[in-house]
Amino acid sequence: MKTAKRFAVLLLAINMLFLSGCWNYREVDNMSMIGGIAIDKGKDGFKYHITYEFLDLSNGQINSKLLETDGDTLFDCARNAIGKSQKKLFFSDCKVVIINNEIASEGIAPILDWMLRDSEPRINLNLLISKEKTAAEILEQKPVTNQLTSLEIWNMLEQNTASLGETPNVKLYQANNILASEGISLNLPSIKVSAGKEKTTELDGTAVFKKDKLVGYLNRNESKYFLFSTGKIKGGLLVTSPKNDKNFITLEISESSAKITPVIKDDNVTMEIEIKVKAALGEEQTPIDYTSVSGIQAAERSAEKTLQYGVNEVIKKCQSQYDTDIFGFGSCIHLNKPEFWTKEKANWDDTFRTLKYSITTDVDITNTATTKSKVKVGD
Amino acid sequence: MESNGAESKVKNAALTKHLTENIDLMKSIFIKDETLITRNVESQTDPKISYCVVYCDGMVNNKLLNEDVIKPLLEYRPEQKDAQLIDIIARQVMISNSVEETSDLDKLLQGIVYGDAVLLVDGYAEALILNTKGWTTRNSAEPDGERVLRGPREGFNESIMMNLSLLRRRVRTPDLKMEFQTFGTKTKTKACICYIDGVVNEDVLAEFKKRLKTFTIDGVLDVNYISEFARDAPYSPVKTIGSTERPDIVAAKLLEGRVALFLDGTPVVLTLPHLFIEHFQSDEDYYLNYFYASFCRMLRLFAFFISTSMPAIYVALTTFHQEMLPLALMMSISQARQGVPFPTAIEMVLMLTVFEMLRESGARMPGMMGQALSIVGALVIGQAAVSAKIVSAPMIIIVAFTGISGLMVPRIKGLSILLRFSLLFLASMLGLYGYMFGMLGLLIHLFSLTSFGIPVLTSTYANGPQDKKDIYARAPWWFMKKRPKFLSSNTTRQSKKGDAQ
Repeated sequence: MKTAKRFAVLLLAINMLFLSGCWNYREVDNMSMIGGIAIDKGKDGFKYHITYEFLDLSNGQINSKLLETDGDTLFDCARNAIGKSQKKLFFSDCKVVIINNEIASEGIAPILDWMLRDSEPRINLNLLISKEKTAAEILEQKPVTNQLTSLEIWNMLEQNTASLGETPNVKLYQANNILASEGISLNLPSIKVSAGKEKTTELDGTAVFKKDKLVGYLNRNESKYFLFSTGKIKGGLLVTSPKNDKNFITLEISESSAKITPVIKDDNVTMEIEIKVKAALGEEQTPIDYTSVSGIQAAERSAEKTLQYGVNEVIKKCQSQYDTDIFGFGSCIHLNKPEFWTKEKANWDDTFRTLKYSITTDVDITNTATTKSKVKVGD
Repeated sequence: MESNGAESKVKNAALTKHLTENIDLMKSIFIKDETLITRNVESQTDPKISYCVVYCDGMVNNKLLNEDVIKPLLEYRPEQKDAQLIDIIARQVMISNSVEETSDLDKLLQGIVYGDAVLLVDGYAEALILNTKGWTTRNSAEPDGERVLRGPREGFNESIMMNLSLLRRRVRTPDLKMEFQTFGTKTKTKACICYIDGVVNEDVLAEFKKRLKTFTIDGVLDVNYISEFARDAPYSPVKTIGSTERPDIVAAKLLEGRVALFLDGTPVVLTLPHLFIEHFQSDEDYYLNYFYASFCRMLRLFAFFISTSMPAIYVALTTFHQEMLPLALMMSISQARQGVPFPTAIEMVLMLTVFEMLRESGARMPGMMGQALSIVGALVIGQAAVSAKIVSAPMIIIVAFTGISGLMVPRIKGLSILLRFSLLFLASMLGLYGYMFGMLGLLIHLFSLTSFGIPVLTSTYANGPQDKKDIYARAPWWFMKKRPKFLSSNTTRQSKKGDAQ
């Protein structure tokens, strides 16, 4: 009796090994690793047309290859690829998803569902909006140094965030969070094919959404000030001309933060935007040397003014031209003054259009890099 | 029964007062054994007083026998044949350092086969056992399996008395107890239980002695025979009794309150209880700087993890959880696998088996063939297999790494290999999920395992710094003020005055 009981327990335990979990043995060499995909409108009655860029390792080298499929949903498209390639597409290394601007202007929420739901694509992949006629054109360009265009784009985005600061870097999960929150609209990096002899891809500012529908773009300079106002600048340059005479000083940003506080007075809300920047004096092309104590202060004031002007311009543009709150002023009120937000929520669009704000900037130059004075020209 | 011939004869026989009868008895017991020598000696004064020296050729020291036994016998001139003759011979004539008078035939036979000479005296039903042992033994050399760069280089050999003297030289105290016992109904092998009185864990000692009484076997040629009978969890691949060939290790273990068992005919000595962490302790740890020793010990623990888990984790990652591999790594693995005919799991099993075969053939091979083996192993099986696309290059790296780390912890070799293959099997069926299953199983087993009443993982979860000082790191000697309390009830190791317990 005891033996039988033990045997039954053992049998159950063994069954647990075989019947549970994910039976998912597959070899790496039977998979096509996808670097990035481009989503376009479908042809021949299909809703979507997807271009996949994948790694082709078959002849001992790493090559980029493109595969195109049509389907009514993203999953449908992905599965249809089996009809075209012997290897199954593998999405876990997919770094970028480039979305056609027409699809984006109709709303991108539906196409995010599969990427968030399926187990393979990562939630930290990057979304981009193509400025070209089709998103596939972006993937068709030759990469400059990488083997894959998608990887090149992905690395460009990371680099841009770290040391240029002219393109937002929004991951899939962040986009999802923004879409789900109140009082904030989505922004995504936009990309185009560069002009010039050797055509390649080029990051080009910000795509501005109203909720999940594309409404327009910010250029690179505007994008920079947009990122300043949301505290997302991690590096990059701030170029300023103290005398407004086309003689510039360049500051290299080492730290930057932004704080947005809603101030409510008589049922009117004012957003107080406080931007703090720490930077190094990186280049001087001015006739006067600014590396003295008073000079540094003058340079700081000038940079603060430039920054204030730029941020002001971009907020105005969003208020008047695009009518969309990509800065998250609404969600800021939602977080800080929830009672006020419940009242204001319904007509936030109108409020935003005429929202008052004040910008205070504080630039702190911490050093002048490796020299103490500017280049002197002897008499 | 044929096989019990000698034994039944011994049972029914006894020495008589007639020398010739006694000699015939001996000869009949040792019939067909031509190494038995009987040397008749007669007194010069009275030829009626005759003796016979019985011994086994090759087991005795001939010089000793001639000069200390036969010569004094020949020179002894007894006045008359009186009742005390045999006592007089024992006390006044024999030069031998150990003389025992007995009429127990069994004891006499034991003496003869163990290299003693037996002196039969006409007219007495008793005989003398004289210590004339003198067979040749190997010199004490450093054991190959436990070499050290710095520290004592003595090792045990196959003679139990020699081994005990090596231990006694290190622990010079009357508290060092050595209790003899015999194992093997045929081999009658001498064994010795050693411990230090007042330090030893009495419960462990009593339990060990109890277990030694529970079995009989015809012969024991190595301590492993006894170990497998006396150990806890006989089916477990984890050692619960330790073994070593180094006297310094035995001395150190005894000082920690452990018990040792020496066996004649083998240089290996058992020490018990055996905790899991002892697999990773090396005697050199205690002779080198403690920072370096601690680093090496942690490296050994890491090597054990690598050698058991690396193949399983590699297979799990490349066949189940590709999303966990960075793209660059995945690219190179995928590229290396292009055109390889076998699935990763099979490839891994094959290569691990090949490595084990190379290792085993290397271990049993005459020394000068090592070079040929390394050429075959490295070139043919490694490089050629990769360039012929039979295995992938990352596989060779993993297997080599696994193998090298396995060799770093030789004391746990058997468990390593078993775990490596079973974890690999689980991982190739269920991925990391299966690997976790295996690891949990191992942990459950280890936590439930005891060695003579002491859980083998005790040390790893023991409380207090004094119990932790010699686990993951080796604390400096001045810090090790106490013995581990789970091993010994008397924990004082250092006292202020310096009068060590």
